[in-house]
Amino acid sequence: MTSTSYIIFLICILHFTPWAFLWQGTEEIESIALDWHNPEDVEGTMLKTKRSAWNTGVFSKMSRLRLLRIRNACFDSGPEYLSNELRFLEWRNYPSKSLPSCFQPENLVEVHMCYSNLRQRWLGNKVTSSVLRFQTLCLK
Amino acid sequence: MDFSDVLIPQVIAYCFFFCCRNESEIIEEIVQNIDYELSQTFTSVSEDLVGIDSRVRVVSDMLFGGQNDVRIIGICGMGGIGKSTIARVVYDKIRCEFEGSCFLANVREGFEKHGAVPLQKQLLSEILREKSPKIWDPEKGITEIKNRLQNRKVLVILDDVDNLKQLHFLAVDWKWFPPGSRIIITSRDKNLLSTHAVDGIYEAEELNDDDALVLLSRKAFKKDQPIEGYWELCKSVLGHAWGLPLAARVLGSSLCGRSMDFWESLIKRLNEIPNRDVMDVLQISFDGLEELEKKIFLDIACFFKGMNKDQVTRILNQCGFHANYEIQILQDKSLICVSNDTLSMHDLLQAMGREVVRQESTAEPGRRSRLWASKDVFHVLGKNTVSSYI
Repeated sequence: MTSTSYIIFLICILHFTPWAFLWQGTEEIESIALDWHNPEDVEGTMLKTKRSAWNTGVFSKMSRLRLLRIRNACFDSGPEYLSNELRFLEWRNYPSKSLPSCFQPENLVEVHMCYSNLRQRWLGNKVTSSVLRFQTLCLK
Repeated sequence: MDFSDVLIPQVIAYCFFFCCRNESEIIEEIVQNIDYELSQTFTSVSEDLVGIDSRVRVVSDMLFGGQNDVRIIGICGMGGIGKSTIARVVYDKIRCEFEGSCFLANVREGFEKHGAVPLQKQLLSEILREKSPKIWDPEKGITEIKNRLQNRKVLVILDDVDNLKQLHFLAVDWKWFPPGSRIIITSRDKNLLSTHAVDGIYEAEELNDDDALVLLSRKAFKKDQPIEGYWELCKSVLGHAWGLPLAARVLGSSLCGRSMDFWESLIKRLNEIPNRDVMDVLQISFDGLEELEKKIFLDIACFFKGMNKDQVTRILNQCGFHANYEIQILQDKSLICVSNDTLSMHDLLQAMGREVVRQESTAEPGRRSRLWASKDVFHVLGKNTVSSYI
Protein backbone atom coordinates (compact mmCIF):
# COMPACT_ATOMS: atom_id res chain seq x y z
CA MET A 1 0.00 0.00 0.00
CA THR A 2 1.36 3.43 -0.89
CA SER A 3 1.61 6.01 1.80
CA THR A 4 -1.15 8.17 0.28
CA SER A 5 -3.70 5.40 0.21
CA TYR A 6 -2.62 4.40 3.70
CA ILE A 7 -3.40 7.90 4.93
CA ILE A 8 -6.75 7.90 3.14
CA PHE A 9 -7.52 4.53 4.70
CA LEU A 10 -6.69 5.90 8.15
CA ILE A 11 -8.82 8.99 7.63
CA CYS A 12 -11.72 6.80 6.56
CA ILE A 13 -11.42 4.68 9.67
CA LEU A 14 -11.15 7.73 11.90
CA HIS A 15 -14.12 9.27 10.23
CA PHE A 16 -16.41 6.32 10.65
CA THR A 17 -15.63 5.27 14.18
CA PRO A 18 -17.96 6.50 16.90
CA TRP A 19 -14.97 7.79 18.77
CA ALA A 20 -14.03 10.09 15.93
CA PHE A 21 -17.54 11.34 15.61
CA LEU A 22 -17.63 12.38 19.23
CA TRP A 23 -14.21 13.85 19.10
CA GLN A 24 -15.13 16.00 16.16
CA GLY A 25 -18.41 17.10 17.58
CA THR A 26 -18.80 17.84 21.21
CA GLU A 27 -15.76 20.06 21.70
CA GLU A 28 -17.82 23.12 20.91
CA ILE A 29 -20.33 22.61 23.68
CA GLU A 30 -20.25 25.32 26.34
CA SER A 31 -23.47 24.77 28.19
CA ILE A 32 -25.88 21.92 28.80
CA ALA A 33 -29.23 22.24 30.51
CA LEU A 34 -31.08 18.98 30.92
CA ASP A 35 -34.36 19.19 32.74
CA TRP A 36 -36.54 16.36 31.67
CA HIS A 37 -39.92 16.85 33.20
CA ASN A 38 -42.91 16.14 31.11
CA PRO A 39 -45.37 13.70 32.59
CA GLU A 40 -46.96 13.00 29.25
CA ASP A 41 -43.71 12.38 27.46
CA VAL A 42 -43.29 8.61 27.60
CA GLU A 43 -39.75 8.73 26.33
CA GLY A 44 -38.81 11.27 28.96
CA THR A 45 -40.29 9.24 31.79
CA MET A 46 -38.40 6.21 30.57
CA LEU A 47 -35.10 8.03 30.34
CA LYS A 48 -35.48 9.39 33.83
CA THR A 49 -35.53 5.92 35.28
CA LYS A 50 -33.47 3.91 32.82
CA ARG A 51 -29.90 4.07 33.99
CA SER A 52 -28.30 2.29 31.10
CA ALA A 53 -29.50 4.80 28.55
CA TRP A 54 -26.85 7.40 29.31
CA ASN A 55 -23.21 7.59 28.47
CA THR A 56 -21.04 9.77 30.70
CA GLY A 57 -17.96 9.08 28.57
CA VAL A 58 -18.95 11.90 26.27
CA PHE A 59 -18.01 14.46 28.92
CA SER A 60 -14.35 13.71 28.28
CA LYS A 61 -14.73 15.33 24.89
CA MET A 62 -16.19 18.52 26.24
CA SER A 63 -13.22 20.57 27.27
CA ARG A 64 -14.98 23.91 26.92
CA LEU A 65 -18.03 23.14 29.04
CA ARG A 66 -18.79 26.14 31.28
CA LEU A 67 -22.32 25.53 32.50
CA LEU A 68 -23.84 22.18 33.35
CA ARG A 69 -27.25 21.46 34.75
CA ILE A 70 -28.63 17.94 34.97
CA ARG A 71 -31.98 17.23 36.55
CA ASN A 72 -34.23 14.26 36.20
CA ALA A 73 -31.84 11.94 34.47
CA CYS A 74 -30.52 8.74 35.94
CA PHE A 75 -26.92 7.89 35.13
CA ASP A 76 -25.40 4.59 36.23
CA SER A 77 -21.89 5.96 36.74
CA GLY A 78 -20.24 9.28 37.28
CA PRO A 79 -18.17 10.96 34.58
CA GLU A 80 -14.45 10.17 34.29
CA TYR A 81 -13.71 13.67 33.20
CA LEU A 82 -15.32 17.05 33.71
CA SER A 83 -14.09 20.25 32.14
CA ASN A 84 -12.00 22.45 34.42
CA GLU A 85 -13.67 25.39 32.75
CA LEU A 86 -16.87 24.74 34.68
CA ARG A 87 -18.41 27.77 36.40
CA PHE A 88 -21.77 26.36 37.33
CA LEU A 89 -22.39 22.74 38.22
CA GLU A 90 -25.77 21.38 39.13
CA TRP A 91 -26.26 17.64 39.07
CA ARG A 92 -29.16 16.19 40.96
CA ASN A 93 -28.79 12.49 41.70
CA TYR A 94 -25.09 12.59 40.93
CA PRO A 95 -24.41 8.86 40.67
CA SER A 96 -20.88 8.49 41.94
CA LYS A 97 -19.32 8.97 45.39
CA SER A 98 -16.54 11.09 44.03
CA LEU A 99 -15.80 13.68 41.41
CA PRO A 100 -13.33 12.82 38.62
CA SER A 101 -9.75 12.74 39.89
CA CYS A 102 -8.44 15.18 37.29
CA PHE A 103 -11.19 17.69 37.98
CA GLN A 104 -9.60 20.93 39.26
CA PRO A 105 -12.20 23.63 38.73
CA GLU A 106 -10.53 26.87 39.73
CA ASN A 107 -13.30 29.11 38.54
CA LEU A 108 -16.27 27.22 39.82
CA VAL A 109 -18.81 29.61 41.34
CA GLU A 110 -21.72 27.41 42.29
CA VAL A 111 -22.21 23.74 43.04
CA HIS A 112 -25.63 22.23 43.54
CA MET A 113 -25.60 18.51 44.23
CA CYS A 114 -28.97 17.63 45.67
CA TYR A 115 -29.85 14.00 46.33
CA SER A 116 -26.46 12.80 45.22
CA ASN A 117 -24.15 10.07 46.44
CA LEU A 118 -21.22 12.42 46.59
CA ARG A 119 -19.31 12.50 49.87
CA GLN A 120 -18.71 15.89 51.37
CA ARG A 121 -14.95 15.50 51.70
CA TRP A 122 -14.59 15.00 47.97
CA LEU A 123 -16.11 18.33 47.33
CA GLY A 124 -14.01 20.02 50.00
CA ASN A 125 -10.78 18.66 48.56
CA LYS A 126 -11.57 19.61 45.04
CA VAL A 127 -12.90 23.01 45.35
CA THR A 128 -10.63 25.75 46.57
CA SER A 129 -12.09 28.71 44.79
CA SER A 130 -12.97 31.55 47.11
CA VAL A 131 -16.04 32.66 45.18
CA LEU A 132 -17.71 29.31 45.47
CA ARG A 133 -21.21 29.08 46.83
CA PHE A 134 -22.10 25.62 48.00
CA GLN A 135 -25.49 24.19 48.02
CA THR A 136 -25.09 20.55 48.75
CA LEU A 137 -28.31 19.41 50.27
CA CYS A 138 -28.74 15.79 51.13
CA LEU A 139 -25.10 14.88 50.80
CA LYS A 140 -24.26 11.64 52.47
CA MET B 1 -49.49 51.44 48.66
CA ASP B 2 -47.98 52.68 51.90
CA PHE B 3 -46.78 50.35 54.60
CA SER B 4 -49.25 51.79 57.11
CA ASP B 5 -52.12 51.35 54.64
CA VAL B 6 -51.49 47.65 54.83
CA LEU B 7 -50.59 47.41 58.48
CA ILE B 8 -53.45 49.25 60.16
CA PRO B 9 -56.43 47.30 58.75
CA GLN B 10 -54.56 44.07 59.45
CA VAL B 11 -54.00 44.99 63.08
CA ILE B 12 -57.60 46.10 63.55
CA ALA B 13 -58.87 42.89 62.02
CA TYR B 14 -56.72 40.78 64.28
CA CYS B 15 -57.60 42.69 67.45
CA PHE B 16 -60.99 40.97 67.41
CA PHE B 17 -59.41 37.55 67.64
CA PHE B 18 -56.79 38.60 70.07
CA CYS B 19 -58.30 37.13 73.21
CA CYS B 20 -58.79 33.63 71.88
CA ARG B 21 -55.52 33.07 70.05
CA ASN B 22 -51.84 32.82 70.70
CA GLU B 23 -50.06 36.14 70.33
CA SER B 24 -47.06 34.92 68.38
CA GLU B 25 -49.28 33.06 65.97
CA ILE B 26 -51.20 36.21 65.21
CA ILE B 27 -48.08 38.29 64.73
CA GLU B 28 -46.68 35.73 62.35
CA GLU B 29 -49.86 35.75 60.35
CA ILE B 30 -49.91 39.55 60.18
CA VAL B 31 -46.31 39.63 58.98
CA GLN B 32 -47.08 37.00 56.36
CA ASN B 33 -50.07 38.91 55.07
CA ILE B 34 -48.25 42.23 54.91
CA ASP B 35 -45.37 40.56 53.18
CA TYR B 36 -47.76 39.20 50.60
CA GLU B 37 -49.58 42.50 50.09
CA LEU B 38 -46.38 44.42 49.58
CA SER B 39 -44.88 41.87 47.21
CA GLN B 40 -48.04 42.00 45.14
CA THR B 41 -47.87 45.77 44.85
CA PHE B 42 -44.38 45.83 43.51
CA THR B 43 -44.88 43.23 40.83
CA SER B 44 -47.20 45.46 38.87
CA VAL B 45 -46.18 46.59 35.43
CA SER B 46 -43.97 49.59 35.92
CA GLU B 47 -43.07 50.46 32.35
CA ASP B 48 -44.91 53.20 30.61
CA LEU B 49 -47.29 51.44 28.27
CA VAL B 50 -48.71 52.79 25.05
CA GLY B 51 -52.27 52.33 23.86
CA ILE B 52 -53.13 49.93 26.66
CA ASP B 53 -56.17 51.73 28.10
CA SER B 54 -58.59 51.00 25.29
CA ARG B 55 -57.65 47.32 25.25
CA VAL B 56 -57.95 46.99 28.99
CA ARG B 57 -61.38 48.61 28.86
CA VAL B 58 -62.61 46.04 26.34
CA VAL B 59 -61.43 43.15 28.48
CA SER B 60 -62.90 44.68 31.65
CA ASP B 61 -66.24 45.15 29.91
CA MET B 62 -66.22 41.51 28.86
CA LEU B 63 -65.36 40.42 32.38
CA PHE B 64 -68.07 42.37 34.11
CA GLY B 65 -70.80 42.33 31.49
CA GLY B 66 -73.77 40.11 32.21
CA GLN B 67 -74.75 38.48 35.46
CA ASN B 68 -72.66 38.03 38.50
CA ASP B 69 -71.84 34.41 37.76
CA VAL B 70 -68.52 32.83 36.89
CA ARG B 71 -66.96 34.19 33.73
CA ILE B 72 -64.00 32.84 31.78
CA ILE B 73 -62.48 35.18 29.20
CA GLY B 74 -59.82 34.30 26.66
CA ILE B 75 -57.28 36.70 25.19
CA CYS B 76 -55.68 35.49 21.98
CA GLY B 77 -53.30 36.87 19.40
CA MET B 78 -49.83 36.26 17.97
CA GLY B 79 -46.67 36.34 20.08
CA GLY B 80 -45.42 39.83 20.94
CA ILE B 81 -48.75 41.54 20.57
CA GLY B 82 -49.11 42.15 24.29
CA LYS B 83 -51.57 39.53 25.57
CA SER B 84 -49.75 39.01 28.84
CA THR B 85 -49.33 42.74 29.36
CA ILE B 86 -53.06 43.34 28.93
CA ALA B 87 -53.82 40.51 31.34
CA ARG B 88 -51.30 41.87 33.85
CA VAL B 89 -52.76 45.38 33.75
CA VAL B 90 -56.32 44.09 34.12
CA TYR B 91 -55.16 41.92 37.01
CA ASP B 92 -53.47 44.78 38.84
CA LYS B 93 -56.51 46.95 38.35
CA ILE B 94 -59.22 44.62 39.64
CA ARG B 95 -57.57 42.13 41.95
CA CYS B 96 -58.48 44.04 45.10
CA GLU B 97 -62.16 43.32 44.40
CA PHE B 98 -61.67 39.60 44.95
CA GLU B 99 -61.14 37.45 48.00
CA GLY B 100 -58.16 35.82 46.42
CA SER B 101 -56.19 36.27 43.24
CA CYS B 102 -53.38 34.61 41.34
CA PHE B 103 -51.43 35.42 38.20
CA LEU B 104 -49.88 32.24 36.83
CA ALA B 105 -47.27 33.38 34.34
CA ASN B 106 -45.81 31.17 31.59
CA VAL B 107 -48.05 28.17 32.14
CA ARG B 108 -46.76 26.39 29.04
CA GLU B 109 -43.13 26.72 30.03
CA GLY B 110 -43.85 25.76 33.62
CA PHE B 111 -45.62 22.60 32.53
CA GLU B 112 -42.86 21.59 30.17
CA LYS B 113 -40.15 22.13 32.73
CA HIS B 114 -41.62 21.07 36.04
CA GLY B 115 -45.00 19.47 35.40
CA ALA B 116 -48.36 20.36 36.93
CA VAL B 117 -47.63 20.19 40.66
CA PRO B 118 -45.58 23.41 41.15
CA LEU B 119 -48.22 25.41 39.28
CA GLN B 120 -51.00 23.89 41.36
CA LYS B 121 -49.06 24.77 44.50
CA GLN B 122 -48.52 28.32 43.31
CA LEU B 123 -52.21 28.70 42.56
CA LEU B 124 -53.21 27.54 46.02
CA SER B 125 -50.52 29.38 47.94
CA GLU B 126 -51.17 32.72 46.24
CA ILE B 127 -54.91 32.57 46.71
CA LEU B 128 -54.91 31.16 50.24
CA ARG B 129 -51.69 32.98 51.20
CA GLU B 130 -50.21 29.85 52.61
CA LYS B 131 -46.56 29.13 52.37
CA SER B 132 -46.43 25.67 50.89
CA PRO B 133 -49.57 23.63 50.36
CA LYS B 134 -48.89 19.93 50.30
CA ILE B 135 -49.57 18.39 46.91
CA TRP B 136 -47.69 15.38 45.65
CA ASP B 137 -49.74 14.15 42.78
CA PRO B 138 -51.33 16.20 39.98
CA GLU B 139 -54.68 14.37 40.09
CA LYS B 140 -54.97 14.91 43.83
CA GLY B 141 -53.96 18.50 43.25
CA ILE B 142 -57.12 19.05 41.22
CA THR B 143 -59.36 17.85 44.05
CA GLU B 144 -57.34 19.84 46.54
CA ILE B 145 -57.81 23.02 44.51
CA LYS B 146 -61.53 22.40 44.13
CA ASN B 147 -62.04 21.67 47.82
CA ARG B 148 -60.09 24.58 49.15
CA LEU B 149 -61.16 27.30 46.74
CA GLN B 150 -64.83 26.34 46.78
CA ASN B 151 -66.00 29.23 48.91
CA ARG B 152 -63.87 32.04 47.60
CA LYS B 153 -64.58 34.60 44.95
CA VAL B 154 -61.32 34.47 43.04
CA LEU B 155 -59.53 36.09 40.12
CA VAL B 156 -57.22 33.75 38.25
CA ILE B 157 -55.05 34.59 35.25
CA LEU B 158 -53.52 31.72 33.28
CA ASP B 159 -50.91 33.20 31.04
CA ASP B 160 -49.71 31.47 27.87
CA VAL B 161 -51.68 28.24 27.79
CA ASP B 162 -51.24 25.98 24.77
CA ASN B 163 -52.87 22.72 25.74
CA LEU B 164 -56.24 21.66 27.15
CA LYS B 165 -54.49 19.39 29.64
CA GLN B 166 -52.99 22.43 31.34
CA LEU B 167 -56.50 23.78 31.91
CA HIS B 168 -57.62 20.40 33.19
CA PHE B 169 -54.82 20.17 35.77
CA LEU B 170 -55.40 23.72 36.95
CA ALA B 171 -59.06 22.80 37.42
CA VAL B 172 -60.44 25.53 35.21
CA ASP B 173 -64.08 24.71 35.10
CA TRP B 174 -67.01 26.86 35.93
CA LYS B 175 -69.02 24.19 37.65
CA TRP B 176 -67.30 24.59 40.95
CA PHE B 177 -65.97 28.17 41.07
CA PRO B 178 -68.19 30.26 43.35
CA PRO B 179 -70.29 33.01 41.72
CA GLY B 180 -68.44 36.22 41.08
CA SER B 181 -65.16 34.53 40.19
CA ARG B 182 -63.33 35.63 37.06
CA ILE B 183 -60.79 33.72 35.01
CA ILE B 184 -58.64 35.05 32.18
CA ILE B 185 -56.75 32.71 29.88
CA THR B 186 -54.20 34.02 27.38
CA SER B 187 -53.13 31.86 24.47
CA ARG B 188 -51.75 32.08 20.95
CA ASP B 189 -54.20 29.42 19.90
CA LYS B 190 -57.73 30.68 19.34
CA ASN B 191 -58.98 27.16 18.65
CA LEU B 192 -57.98 26.03 22.08
CA LEU B 193 -59.95 28.84 23.66
CA SER B 194 -63.08 28.10 21.66
CA THR B 195 -62.79 24.36 22.35
CA HIS B 196 -62.74 25.10 26.04
CA ALA B 197 -65.91 27.11 25.58
CA VAL B 198 -64.95 30.36 27.22
CA ASP B 199 -67.57 33.07 27.69
CA GLY B 200 -65.83 35.48 25.41
CA ILE B 201 -62.66 35.81 23.39
CA TYR B 202 -60.82 39.08 22.98
CA GLU B 203 -58.52 39.14 19.98
CA ALA B 204 -55.68 41.46 20.92
CA GLU B 205 -55.38 44.20 18.35
CA GLU B 206 -52.22 45.55 16.81
CA LEU B 207 -51.03 49.00 17.80
CA ASN B 208 -52.39 51.71 15.55
CA ASP B 209 -49.88 53.86 13.65
CA ASP B 210 -49.92 56.72 16.14
CA ASP B 211 -49.37 54.51 19.16
CA ALA B 212 -46.62 52.57 17.40
CA LEU B 213 -44.87 55.84 16.60
CA VAL B 214 -45.09 56.97 20.23
CA LEU B 215 -43.64 53.67 21.44
CA LEU B 216 -40.78 53.73 18.92
CA SER B 217 -39.96 57.36 19.74
CA ARG B 218 -39.95 56.72 23.46
CA LYS B 219 -37.40 53.98 23.01
CA ALA B 220 -35.29 55.67 20.33
CA PHE B 221 -35.42 59.32 21.43
CA LYS B 222 -36.85 59.16 24.97
CA LYS B 223 -39.64 61.44 23.79
CA ASP B 224 -43.22 60.97 22.64
CA GLN B 225 -42.48 61.92 19.06
CA PRO B 226 -39.52 61.64 16.69
CA ILE B 227 -36.97 64.45 16.59
CA GLU B 228 -36.72 66.62 13.47
CA GLY B 229 -35.67 64.86 10.32
CA TYR B 230 -36.42 61.35 11.59
CA TRP B 231 -40.15 61.17 10.79
CA GLU B 232 -39.77 59.33 7.50
CA LEU B 233 -37.15 56.96 8.92
CA CYS B 234 -39.47 56.11 11.80
CA LYS B 235 -42.30 55.38 9.39
CA SER B 236 -40.10 53.01 7.35
CA VAL B 237 -38.97 51.16 10.46
CA LEU B 238 -42.53 50.81 11.70
CA GLY B 239 -43.53 49.36 8.36
CA HIS B 240 -41.65 46.26 9.52
CA ALA B 241 -43.01 46.14 13.04
CA TRP B 242 -46.59 45.34 11.92
CA GLY B 243 -48.09 46.98 14.94
CA LEU B 244 -46.41 44.52 17.30
CA PRO B 245 -45.40 46.29 20.51
CA LEU B 246 -42.51 43.87 21.03
CA ALA B 247 -41.00 44.56 17.61
CA ALA B 248 -41.47 48.32 17.92
CA ARG B 249 -39.82 48.30 21.34
CA VAL B 250 -36.84 46.17 20.33
CA LEU B 251 -36.23 48.09 17.10
CA GLY B 252 -36.59 51.44 18.85
CA SER B 253 -34.17 50.45 21.61
CA SER B 254 -31.56 49.24 19.16
CA LEU B 255 -31.75 52.60 17.35
CA CYS B 256 -31.37 54.71 20.47
CA GLY B 257 -28.62 57.30 20.05
CA ARG B 258 -27.67 56.12 16.56
CA SER B 259 -26.80 58.23 13.53
CA MET B 260 -28.97 58.60 10.48
CA ASP B 261 -26.65 56.32 8.50
CA PHE B 262 -27.24 53.56 10.98
CA TRP B 263 -31.00 54.01 10.65
CA GLU B 264 -30.74 53.76 6.90
CA SER B 265 -28.64 50.61 6.93
CA LEU B 266 -31.04 49.01 9.39
CA ILE B 267 -34.00 49.85 7.16
CA LYS B 268 -32.12 48.36 4.23
CA ARG B 269 -31.68 45.13 6.13
CA LEU B 270 -35.32 45.13 7.16
CA ASN B 271 -36.29 45.45 3.51
CA GLU B 272 -34.32 42.32 2.72
CA ILE B 273 -36.41 40.12 5.01
CA PRO B 274 -38.41 37.96 2.63
CA ASN B 275 -41.40 36.92 4.70
CA ARG B 276 -43.41 38.62 7.33
CA ASP B 277 -41.44 37.00 10.12
CA VAL B 278 -41.04 38.83 13.38
CA MET B 279 -38.14 36.60 14.45
CA ASP B 280 -36.02 37.92 11.57
CA VAL B 281 -36.81 41.46 12.65
CA LEU B 282 -35.73 40.71 16.21
CA GLN B 283 -32.56 39.08 14.98
CA ILE B 284 -31.46 42.31 13.35
CA SER B 285 -31.31 43.83 16.79
CA PHE B 286 -29.27 40.84 18.01
CA ASP B 287 -26.86 41.18 15.09
CA GLY B 288 -26.11 44.74 16.18
CA LEU B 289 -24.71 43.59 19.54
CA GLU B 290 -21.02 43.31 20.44
CA GLU B 291 -19.51 39.82 20.62
CA LEU B 292 -19.60 39.57 24.42
CA GLU B 293 -23.15 40.87 24.58
CA LYS B 294 -24.18 38.25 22.05
CA LYS B 295 -22.60 35.49 24.12
CA ILE B 296 -24.35 36.64 27.27
CA PHE B 297 -27.66 36.97 25.46
CA LEU B 298 -27.33 33.40 24.18
CA ASP B 299 -26.33 32.14 27.62
CA ILE B 300 -29.45 33.69 29.07
CA ALA B 301 -31.68 32.34 26.29
CA CYS B 302 -30.30 28.81 26.64
CA PHE B 303 -29.38 28.50 30.31
CA PHE B 304 -30.02 31.36 32.70
CA LYS B 305 -33.57 32.47 31.96
CA GLY B 306 -35.56 32.54 35.19
CA MET B 307 -32.51 32.63 37.48
CA ASN B 308 -31.59 35.34 39.97
CA LYS B 309 -29.75 38.28 38.43
CA ASP B 310 -26.99 38.54 41.05
CA GLN B 311 -26.36 34.83 40.88
CA VAL B 312 -26.01 34.96 37.08
CA THR B 313 -23.80 38.03 37.29
CA ARG B 314 -21.39 36.25 39.61
CA ILE B 315 -21.20 33.23 37.34
CA LEU B 316 -20.70 35.31 34.21
CA ASN B 317 -18.08 37.52 35.87
CA GLN B 318 -16.11 34.38 36.56
CA CYS B 319 -16.35 33.55 32.84
CA GLY B 320 -14.46 36.76 32.12
CA PHE B 321 -17.35 39.04 31.28
CA HIS B 322 -18.23 42.34 32.89
CA ALA B 323 -21.67 41.01 33.33
CA ASN B 324 -23.24 43.92 35.18
CA TYR B 325 -22.48 46.28 32.35
CA GLU B 326 -23.50 43.89 29.60
CA ILE B 327 -26.73 42.86 31.28
CA GLN B 328 -27.57 46.54 31.60
CA ILE B 329 -26.96 47.02 27.87
CA LEU B 330 -29.17 44.06 27.00
CA GLN B 331 -31.81 45.55 29.25
CA ASP B 332 -31.49 48.95 27.57
CA LYS B 333 -31.95 47.26 24.22
CA SER B 334 -35.15 45.63 25.50
CA LEU B 335 -33.74 42.18 24.80
CA ILE B 336 -34.04 40.99 28.38
CA CYS B 337 -35.86 42.29 31.42
CA VAL B 338 -35.23 42.03 35.12
CA SER B 339 -38.24 41.84 37.39
CA ASN B 340 -38.01 41.02 41.09
CA ASP B 341 -34.29 40.38 40.55
CA THR B 342 -35.11 37.58 38.12
CA LEU B 343 -33.78 37.51 34.58
CA SER B 344 -36.42 36.96 31.98
CA MET B 345 -36.96 37.54 28.30
CA HIS B 346 -39.86 37.39 25.91
CA ASP B 347 -40.58 33.96 24.43
CA LEU B 348 -39.98 35.18 20.90
CA LEU B 349 -36.60 36.68 21.82
CA GLN B 350 -35.65 33.43 23.52
CA ALA B 351 -36.75 31.47 20.45
CA MET B 352 -34.68 33.81 18.28
CA GLY B 353 -31.59 33.28 20.46
CA ARG B 354 -32.04 29.53 20.41
CA GLU B 355 -32.47 29.59 16.65
CA VAL B 356 -29.11 31.39 16.36
CA VAL B 357 -27.51 28.53 18.33
CA ARG B 358 -29.38 25.92 16.31
CA GLN B 359 -28.03 27.42 13.11
CA GLU B 360 -24.47 26.68 14.26
CA SER B 361 -25.18 23.14 13.16
CA THR B 362 -28.70 22.32 12.10
CA ALA B 363 -28.14 18.60 11.65
CA GLU B 364 -25.85 17.72 14.53
CA PRO B 365 -26.70 18.97 18.04
CA GLY B 366 -23.27 17.86 19.27
CA ARG B 367 -21.66 20.65 17.32
CA ARG B 368 -23.66 23.48 18.77
CA SER B 369 -22.25 25.62 21.54
CA ARG B 370 -25.26 25.28 23.82
CA LEU B 371 -27.72 22.47 24.44
CA TRP B 372 -31.08 22.95 26.11
CA ALA B 373 -33.64 20.66 24.50
CA SER B 374 -33.84 17.30 26.24
CA LYS B 375 -33.88 15.38 23.00
CA ASP B 376 -30.71 17.09 21.80
CA VAL B 377 -28.97 16.45 25.10
CA PHE B 378 -30.00 12.83 24.83
CA HIS B 379 -28.71 12.74 21.28
CA VAL B 380 -25.29 13.72 22.58
CA LEU B 381 -25.25 11.97 25.96
CA GLY B 382 -27.37 8.95 25.08
CA LYS B 383 -25.74 5.58 24.52
CA ASN B 384 -27.30 4.37 21.33
CA THR B 385 -27.19 7.57 19.43
CA VAL B 386 -23.68 7.26 18.12
CA SER B 387 -24.41 4.07 16.27
CA SER B 388 -27.74 5.33 15.02
CA TYR B 389 -26.07 8.43 13.64
CA ILE B 390 -23.61 6.31 11.66
